[in-house]
Amino acid sequence: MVETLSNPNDFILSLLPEQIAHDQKIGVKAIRLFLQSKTSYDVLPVSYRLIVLDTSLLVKKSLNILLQNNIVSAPLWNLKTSRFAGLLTLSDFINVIQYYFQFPEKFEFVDQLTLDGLRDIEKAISVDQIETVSIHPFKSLYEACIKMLESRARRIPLIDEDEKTKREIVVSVLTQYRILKFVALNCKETKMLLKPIRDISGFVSDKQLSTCTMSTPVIEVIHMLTEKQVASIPIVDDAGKLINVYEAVDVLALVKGGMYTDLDLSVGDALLRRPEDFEGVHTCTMNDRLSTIMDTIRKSRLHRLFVVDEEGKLVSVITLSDILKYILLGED
Amino acid sequence: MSEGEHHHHHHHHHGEKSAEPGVNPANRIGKYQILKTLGEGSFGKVKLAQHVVTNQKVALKIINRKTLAKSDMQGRVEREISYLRLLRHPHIIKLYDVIKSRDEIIMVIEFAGKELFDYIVQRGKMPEDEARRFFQQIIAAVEYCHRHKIVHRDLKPENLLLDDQLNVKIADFGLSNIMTDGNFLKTSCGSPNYAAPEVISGKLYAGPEVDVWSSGVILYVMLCGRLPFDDEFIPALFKKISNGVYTLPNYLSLGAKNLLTRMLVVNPLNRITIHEIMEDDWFKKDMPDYLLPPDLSQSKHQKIEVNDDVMLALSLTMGYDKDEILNVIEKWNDDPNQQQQQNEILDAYLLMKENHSLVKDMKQNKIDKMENFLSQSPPPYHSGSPSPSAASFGNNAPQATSSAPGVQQSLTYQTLATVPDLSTLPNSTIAILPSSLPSIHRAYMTETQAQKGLTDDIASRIPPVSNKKLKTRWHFGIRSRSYPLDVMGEIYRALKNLGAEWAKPTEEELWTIRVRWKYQSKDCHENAPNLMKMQIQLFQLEPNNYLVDFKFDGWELVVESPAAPKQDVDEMSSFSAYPFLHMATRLIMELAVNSQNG
Repeated sequence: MVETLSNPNDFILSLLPEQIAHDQKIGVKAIRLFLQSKTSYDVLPVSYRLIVLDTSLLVKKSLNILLQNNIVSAPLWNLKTSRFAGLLTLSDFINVIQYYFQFPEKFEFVDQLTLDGLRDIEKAISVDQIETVSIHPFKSLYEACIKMLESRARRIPLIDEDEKTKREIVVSVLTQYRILKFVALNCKETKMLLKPIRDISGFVSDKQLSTCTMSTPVIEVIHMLTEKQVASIPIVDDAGKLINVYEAVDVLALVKGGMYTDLDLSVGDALLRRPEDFEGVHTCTMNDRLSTIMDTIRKSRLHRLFVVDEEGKLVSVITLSDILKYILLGED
Repeated sequence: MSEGEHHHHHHHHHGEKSAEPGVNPANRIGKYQILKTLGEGSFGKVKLAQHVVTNQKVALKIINRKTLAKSDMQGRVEREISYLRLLRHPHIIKLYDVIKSRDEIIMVIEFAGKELFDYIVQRGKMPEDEARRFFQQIIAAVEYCHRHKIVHRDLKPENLLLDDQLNVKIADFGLSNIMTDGNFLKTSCGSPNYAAPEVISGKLYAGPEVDVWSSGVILYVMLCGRLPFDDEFIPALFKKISNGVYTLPNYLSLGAKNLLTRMLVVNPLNRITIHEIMEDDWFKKDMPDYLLPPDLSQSKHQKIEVNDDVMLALSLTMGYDKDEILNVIEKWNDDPNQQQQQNEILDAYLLMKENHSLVKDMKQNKIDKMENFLSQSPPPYHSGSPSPSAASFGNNAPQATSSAPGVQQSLTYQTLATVPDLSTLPNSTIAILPSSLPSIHRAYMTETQAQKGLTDDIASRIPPVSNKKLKTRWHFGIRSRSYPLDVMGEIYRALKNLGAEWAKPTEEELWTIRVRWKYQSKDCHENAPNLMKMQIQLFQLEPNNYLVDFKFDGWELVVESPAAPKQDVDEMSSFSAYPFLHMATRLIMELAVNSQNG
């Protein structure tokens, strides 16, 4: 009972593994039902800011707008077709950087590149096209999550239709972080997820983690981001200890103002550009539980946790997609 | 036809059009004769009326469609009100019927004459046993609604009514969902004393926890005869609520104090849940059986049986297609975990299944091909039972074990009730990597440079990007210090340059311009509106300071004669993501150009 076990740790230690496993299963199912019962509209605040960019805008201007407004993506609108034209994300800027690195003589072209022209860049360096997946805001959060997992996208635009004009309306962009934060705020069942992550089968899988060191050229790290289709590359020392992380969002600071001259910096130097209010990289160990991970998501903005051992050596990474995938498909 | 016809004048035997003698047909809505206006509620006028056949008194809640949430939400609002009609609980005001017209939605609801709080004002603070009885009824009703995914969000004195046997009847359940944010804020500001901290601070999501808080305030008022949070100055009151500062009088029993302290918890996650309240010892004392929630544990994966009468009733009240309902039930029975968006229909089906009287009425209605009104007449009052009898509700209770998807969620709360608060685990090893913090990284980089013997201190050459200076400032409308008539003149001139049309302003609305513009792209579908309407208004902020405000005023379709001059074809050949902002921007730019030239 509540009164007799006032120390939460004692309480957890008093539970049998079977009991924990059973509660974990119930907890995951309850959160899944919650995601099925809520729509994207439920997540949206009463008022919020949404920035939609016209595809005729210059890429370098769009970069400034993202930095000024402290956002990392924006829905696009094509005035010619009068339609939603996909989502501008960090990958698009990474593509431009890679293109420029391959064709340094095209500086003029890159400087005058519009968002419309991103498709040509994508073709030239043969990478994936701009993400155009979207979902209606009245669909369940569960469906939105499934769509994101299928398309490997970390965010999904919410598109509705204007009743009168029958035109598409860009309502907002839903991120995996927002969904998990919403779950953490509203689902008490997250407190039931007491299984240490080492015991969740397939959760902290033996991912082939690509790492770099402080002296690795930042452009190589950027290449790794696209090759491995990841949003961050951990930086380790000679002993394999985690010391920092280069995130896809860091490319914005690197090429701010249309300067592509810093591409020969080492990743350690490139990270000096990071805004001073950067809150740091989150780490955890195999002993942590999703209950506390979700509570951390409730309290602070995080996009992944790096799993380290007792000596601080890098073991693995848990991304928000991993957590969502487990809630949606795990424990069956 | 109805028995009521026998009362009619013999020479007026034209069926339903004939009126009761001495009754003004103009004061009639459907089969309800309006007696008087009871008041103006948060959702529109409330009138007392009487069913012309059964003489049963009802209250009519008349919602003007204009006060409803955005016009494109109308369909959803009607659907939600219909859903409320399925609720049946002895301590919730029943919604008997919904009458829809073009301008109004009229809710025909159970009439209860007294307010709980008039009773408290008369009597002062209550003995704990008496307060407990009211509180148990309130909590049972709130639990029932939460189980059916409806949160009240606005529990306050005006919504707690008493019937002749001194039973609580909660009014307006579910109505806060259908109002616009602005309106809700307005109404809840009327008595913020009962609002939870997360409601007054406008948090992301106000869930069932807000009803727990408000119930806590109500319990406090019953036990102490005064408000826990009060201040004449609203900001001070808000501060008291968000800090959760209140005092507990010494005369309260330990049990009552303990329950109040667990309900009036600022953090909604740490607040006691409805189910935990129902487990509380102080609460449970003398709890009548009929108020106990049904045992939900057995029904978890129970299959749902298909009942034709229930389906019929559901398609009549909610307008669902029969195949649609069947499809959802089959899917559920195949795999109860696969349910996604169709939950709404399934919930309604399960609610309807519990609601025997409505199912029966609907069936009767269909068989007899009678006009709707008889079936919508309130069920006869159960006389002779001092408290809501087990007979009136007991019928429903066993069936309530059916497995609504939402019910499974409440099952887990019961497990949770035994788990202490684990939100801050001392043995968590989640941490921030110190070396990833910008200041430490910078120091690290400088140090490694020095170790390598490099003189070029690159770290000092690369400053962090700063976002702060670049912050955009946003303004509403445009401000002007010119004479108001000059401002209006400028606006008319700009409108003319842009080829807009406007209505001649009236005396009363001299400072409002109603304007419309052509806004159409080549690829428009047929019958798409081609004119955007806007209202431009001049406000005085302070002497010599005016604000021009732009307001979107809807779309219009006007079929043009081919001879009409085409304006701005190039500019308007495409459709902006935000047509209104687009037009407002063009107007502002035109005004800016004019002011530079002048």
